[in-house]
Amino acid sequence: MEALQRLLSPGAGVGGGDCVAGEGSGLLLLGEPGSGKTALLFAAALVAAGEGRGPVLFVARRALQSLPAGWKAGAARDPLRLQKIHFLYPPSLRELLQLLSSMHETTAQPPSLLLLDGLHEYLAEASGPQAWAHLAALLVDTVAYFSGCLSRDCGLLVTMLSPTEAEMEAAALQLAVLQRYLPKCLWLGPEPSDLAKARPQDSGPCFRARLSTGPGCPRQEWCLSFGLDGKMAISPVTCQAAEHPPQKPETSSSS
Amino acid sequence: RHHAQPAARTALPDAGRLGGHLRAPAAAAAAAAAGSRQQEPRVAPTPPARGRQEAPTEAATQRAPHPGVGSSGGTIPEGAGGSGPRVSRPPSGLCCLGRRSRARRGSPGVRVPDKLLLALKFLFGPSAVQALDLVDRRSVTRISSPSGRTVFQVLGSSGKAYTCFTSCHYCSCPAFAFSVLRKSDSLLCKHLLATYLSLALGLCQELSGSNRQLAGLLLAEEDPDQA
Repeated sequence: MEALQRLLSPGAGVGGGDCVAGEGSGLLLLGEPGSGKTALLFAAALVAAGEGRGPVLFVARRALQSLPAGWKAGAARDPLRLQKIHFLYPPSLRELLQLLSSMHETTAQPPSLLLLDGLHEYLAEASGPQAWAHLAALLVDTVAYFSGCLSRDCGLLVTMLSPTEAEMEAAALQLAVLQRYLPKCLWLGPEPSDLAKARPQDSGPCFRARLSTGPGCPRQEWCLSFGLDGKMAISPVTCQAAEHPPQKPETSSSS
Repeated sequence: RHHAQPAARTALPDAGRLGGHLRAPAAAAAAAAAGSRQQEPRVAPTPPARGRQEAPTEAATQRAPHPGVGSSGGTIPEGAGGSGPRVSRPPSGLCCLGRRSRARRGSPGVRVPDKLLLALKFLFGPSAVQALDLVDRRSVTRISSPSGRTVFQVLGSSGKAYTCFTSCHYCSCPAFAFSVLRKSDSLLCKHLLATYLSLALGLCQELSGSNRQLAGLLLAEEDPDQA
């Protein structure tokens, strides 16, 4: 839990490294279906709501069918936390844009964290680089406005399906455009096979989270495992360059 | 002869610190924004126009006695089509850097050292001159709403208004989409560069609008009137 707090709390900055400071507070969470993006996002919402720094805005295309498993217990202990998370479900790109651009007139209390689940669902409706950039820029601008109101950072966490190989060229351009606005990326991928074998058979799926904050910054890794009850556990991975080959560049690492 | 003076100031002057020293053009811009929003005097008039510039300058200074502080700006009339404010643009030809620096010598405008102008040209290529021209025309307007959110609108040379953010690099113009986002050829488009330059020079026009009008500008939708 402490690791998660360090990982996701917007004030502390992701990872807390020097290279993260002063770069804006947006983080793009990329991963395959079922790699725990929404669970991580929801965990971040609960952590931020528990910090008592204002409400948390959770934006998604449709309502969560159920609370991610494993967090029910934690949330039930403190129902006030859930009340601080405001869920918004704009059903289309147009309505998401309208929501973001009018947040200064609709929100009574500036949130401490803005979460968007499933950016790819909205981007699918967008026509091209200009529209992708407009959505990303509007997200960053909204958060910058809230940060100005709060005189401290309002966090921004966005999840997106990692691009598939079939549409590599368009996806690479899309990712390049998005990374102009959200330079920090957390990649969720399957655990390297040699490590997966070492784990006991009865444990749940395990994923590797890699944070890239740009050139010149040390890469940080966490291990994200889901127990059979759905409980998420996060532990930092100590980088041992000798044992593991260096990771491939981001654009191809999701394959 | 070409070089105006050895650059006494090395940093871009900023409006707040300059206070009373920020002279004619900014005062005129402030007055124009506050008042009738008609044609303003250019920073770099052609030499014959220089003598005539004195009259509107003094008038402007009288109307706005504290130009540094009082860029209070106007308000957008409600029901102006919902598409946001439009700023009138004085007719003008294209300025080149040389003419600009010669004209600057006599005019009491905000001075940018030639060294910085050359650096801008080096970094941004042709966009630099175009952006400076937009700054000269006072094409950049900062629109603020009661909520405290702000957005910039730049009146392009074609007469079309583009929305620019400064919290991150975004402009709604096609050049930004093509050469910045798609091709990664340029760092910025001329409208964004003009916005940053106007901010640094304190030459933004100020307008206030309602929260709703600002939301409309942030959406940056195609305006049927402009298309």
